[in-house]
Amino acid sequence: MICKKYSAGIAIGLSFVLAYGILFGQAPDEVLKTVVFVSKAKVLSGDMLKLALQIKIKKKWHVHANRLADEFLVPTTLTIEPQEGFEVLETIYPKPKLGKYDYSETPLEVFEGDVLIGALLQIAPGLSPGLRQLKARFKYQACDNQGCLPPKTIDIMRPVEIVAEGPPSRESYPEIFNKITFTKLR
Amino acid sequence: MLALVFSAILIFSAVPALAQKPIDFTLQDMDGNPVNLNDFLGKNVILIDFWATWCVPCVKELAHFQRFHEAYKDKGLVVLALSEDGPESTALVKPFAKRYNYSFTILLDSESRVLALYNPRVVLPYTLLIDRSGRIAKVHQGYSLGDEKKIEEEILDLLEPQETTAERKISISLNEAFLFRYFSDQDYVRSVRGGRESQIINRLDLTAATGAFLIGGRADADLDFSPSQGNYSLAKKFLEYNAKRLHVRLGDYYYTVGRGLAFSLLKTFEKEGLEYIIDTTVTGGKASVSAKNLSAEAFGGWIDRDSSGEGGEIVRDAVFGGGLNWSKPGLGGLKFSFVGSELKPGTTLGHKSVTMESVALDIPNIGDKAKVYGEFVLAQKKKYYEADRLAGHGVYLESSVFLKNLTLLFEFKDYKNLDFEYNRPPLLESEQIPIMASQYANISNDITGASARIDYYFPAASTLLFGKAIYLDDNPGYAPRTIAHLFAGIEKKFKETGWWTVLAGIRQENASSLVFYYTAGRTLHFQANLSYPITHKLSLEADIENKDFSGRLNFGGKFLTYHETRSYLSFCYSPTLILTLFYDRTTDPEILTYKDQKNWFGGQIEIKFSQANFIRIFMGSNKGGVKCAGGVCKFFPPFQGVRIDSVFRF
Repeated sequence: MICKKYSAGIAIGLSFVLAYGILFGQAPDEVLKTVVFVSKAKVLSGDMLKLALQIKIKKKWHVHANRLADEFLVPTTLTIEPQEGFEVLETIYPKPKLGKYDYSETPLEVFEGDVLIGALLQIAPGLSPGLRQLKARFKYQACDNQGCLPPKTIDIMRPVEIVAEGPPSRESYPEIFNKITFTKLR
Repeated sequence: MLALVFSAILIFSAVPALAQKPIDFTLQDMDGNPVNLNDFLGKNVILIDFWATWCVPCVKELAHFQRFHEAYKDKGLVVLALSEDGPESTALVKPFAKRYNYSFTILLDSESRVLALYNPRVVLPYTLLIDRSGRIAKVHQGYSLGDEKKIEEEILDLLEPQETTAERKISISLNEAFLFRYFSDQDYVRSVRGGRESQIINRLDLTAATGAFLIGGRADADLDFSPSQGNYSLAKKFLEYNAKRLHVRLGDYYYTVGRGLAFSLLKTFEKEGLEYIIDTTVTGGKASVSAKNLSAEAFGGWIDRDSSGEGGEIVRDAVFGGGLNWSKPGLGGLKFSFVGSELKPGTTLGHKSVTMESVALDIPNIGDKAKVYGEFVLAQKKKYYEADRLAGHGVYLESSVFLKNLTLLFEFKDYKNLDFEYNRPPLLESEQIPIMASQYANISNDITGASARIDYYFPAASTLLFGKAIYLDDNPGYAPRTIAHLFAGIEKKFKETGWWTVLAGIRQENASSLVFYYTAGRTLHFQANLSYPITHKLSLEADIENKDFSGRLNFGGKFLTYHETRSYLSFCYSPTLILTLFYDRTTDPEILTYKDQKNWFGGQIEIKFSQANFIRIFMGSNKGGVKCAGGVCKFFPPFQGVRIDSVFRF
């Protein structure tokens, strides 16, 4: 037999405890995840630095390509914040896919699945040594087969140490950077 | 199964409840003029669309809404397109509207304040249709090519009834429907139908509207043949006045308070097209008035009841009551209600009077993650043959929690001395329905029960896993009883319209509802069903349900087992022709007592001329009952021989 006296309270309590846990303990649903890689943690002034943003987009979702014909749509962009001594030589986006979705007769240029965006930076010769914060903004707008989420911007920060002299450090994450074809690499 | 589909819907989206009043808002248009939703409510059919310049599906859909606006604005359609463009793109809204030549009203919801109230998931586009009575009639999330056809049909449906009232003319709606039925089962004809082999049930509905007034009624004719016999009556007659804040209805009406613990007269369902199983209404009047967050309602009248339940003398019970509601948009509501009734004696003396006071708390959306509903009722009953009043109570609690792809549903109830002819409190198992409906049982059927349901949806695989546990402690009249029921299953959708479901469970009870065998035992049950689209038009539907019971008689301790199998196989040539084959088998001793038949074979041809017009021909024999597959339940009547049903509506 259920103890009638207490069972109502238990049921209410359980519901509220669960509701509380979900409301305050749950991160918002993310359509994609990002990881940032830099080719060198210590870089000589006058040297080049590579940055890669690895994006894992959830199944059934897509983001727009980086170049769009329609001015009203939000392209996917990685923007390195201007900073003295850092010059962005190029930003490399992958080739977009042509995606066909339920809401449109015509295919759209999009990124789906795993995406890798790269940026090549020139460190100014003579840049004073020390720790610098490399800042970038990743902007995208995601849709699934029938609907869209608002545009979102992710702020990226990565510490880089500038050194005046010393042996050239070995590049990290070759498995990532080998997948990006930088054209201005010397 | 219906609950399964319901739960699945809850996983996909939390939408404002249909038939509820929309949350009011005031926003600026592109020229800075304030526009208030209330200005259109109760007058127009309103299409509210949440969109943004960066949303491709929204843009595709808006092209159709522009067309609807041009075609139907003179008939009463108002399109309010709420731009969800944030600070970065608000400035683009005007040039965007110019590019596409939008002429409907565009409102700027740049902080997504209104969107958060209606659709906290913020997936665009999001479309609501509001009918002329000011209630949400349809909700659409997202857009796929072709959706516009459905939305246009819905707009036309909503515009149609009052197309001419805007011009202060009288509009008349006439709906004629008749059911012709023929029975060849002579046993059935003799024992149930008094020797009459065929019948026509005719229903003629007439509704007339002008301005805020609505008047209507239904002329019923039940004609039996060979020998002929006719019954004619005027049913469901009413006069209604609907203003912005005041609603009055005189005549016949359905009514329910909360979830039905205190009072509920709702048309439950329609059997086979026209023959109503429960079609009881209050005759009298009801009125409601609302102002901002508060509303008050009152109702009263009488209910004609068959005193014996078997076509005996009609007695007239009086009911009256009222309620006060407070609600806060986006949060929920609190409701106090009172119901009183004076009941006339039937062939068995039951209650003389019943009063119920109830309070209900409804929080339909807690941050799009949970909802809670609770209702508490105090009952006071006076019986004819007892001097003292009987006190009773009812508690019903329901809570749902939505966690990504996971939904949890909890229910708890405790009913003591709540039995009343005119209430239908929520039940955890359908088996309790006939028990609660009888107020004349000498033993009060007190029920305490709880259930928990879990649904987990894998969107990528279109697969739903579900499970439910139920515990009940009641007294159906012959013995105190406890029931524990556990079942779980998988439902998978495929090829857009196809699905399959498997479900298995165990149900343990210490006193079964068998009439002659008070049996303690357990039932193992299994069900599988499949809907397989063979071609675009042709599909196959199959269902099999198996139950095995084993237990001991409470008296004498004799061991008892029986099994029951119900199955059918349908070929559907959409939308015109459905061919169904049935096979049922049972060794249930209760059924064998009435009919010494273990195996039942049958077939049915259904020719559909439209959704509501059809001819059905039954052949063979069928034990009858409700069979559910994929959330759609079909009623199959018991029959033997040939039976023809045809329903036509105009």
